[in-house]
Amino acid sequence: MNRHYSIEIVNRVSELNRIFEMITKFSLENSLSRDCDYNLNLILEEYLLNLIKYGYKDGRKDIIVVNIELSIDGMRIKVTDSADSFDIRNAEDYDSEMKLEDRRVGGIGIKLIKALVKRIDYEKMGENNIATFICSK
Amino acid sequence: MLIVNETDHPDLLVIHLSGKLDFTNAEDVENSIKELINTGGKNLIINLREVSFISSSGIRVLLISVKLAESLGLKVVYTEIQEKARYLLEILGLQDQIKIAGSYDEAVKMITG
Repeated sequence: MNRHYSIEIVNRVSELNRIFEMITKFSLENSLSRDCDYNLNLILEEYLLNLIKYGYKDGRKDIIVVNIELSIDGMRIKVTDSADSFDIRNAEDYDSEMKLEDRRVGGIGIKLIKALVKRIDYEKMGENNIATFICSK
Repeated sequence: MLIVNETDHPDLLVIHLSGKLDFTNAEDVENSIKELINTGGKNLIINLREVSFISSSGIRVLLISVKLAESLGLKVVYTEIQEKARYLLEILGLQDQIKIAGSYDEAVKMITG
């Protein structure tokens, strides 16, 4: 049983499929519940898509590292990158009353992440952003 | 995957979506539904029973389809949405903007009302 998994991807949307192949394998090997597997896929799709689309205004290449770890307390998802600084905890909340065309792109995904996790930690270490999501197994 | 079925009602189409509705296919599904609404001029019942996963990209498609149909005087009703997807819509406060029926018959009533 593999309780920990790590993968590196280039900051391109086309790389995301490698992450989801890894999640499928990780979920099966660790017998994750359907709900936990769903949350893992959703959190990583929303966060990484937002990061890759909006985190590199100059278009530079980067390596994004994703770590997933299971413990008695739950699941810890850590994303390390050197994109422009982005603390999701302070990101604008999505407003359902706002017209669709006026909503900030990515706001829906950020709202979902915040609702599905128990805690989000963020730290800036040199050039690196380190976002950690803690959720139930 | 997207399958379109005619119904006994001349102004009503049923669409069955299946698999994941995420960033990989949301744009294609959105374009297909938009084309059906724009060219068909019919109300839509969209069955989501076989949709195993939906992300914000997919949720935007559900919402955009409703808004487009409404702008043309048409209705879109979703049926048999899975519990997790319904929960995500509730988180976003969209349960009042997206009509959801438990069954085909209920959806027909909501449209023909």
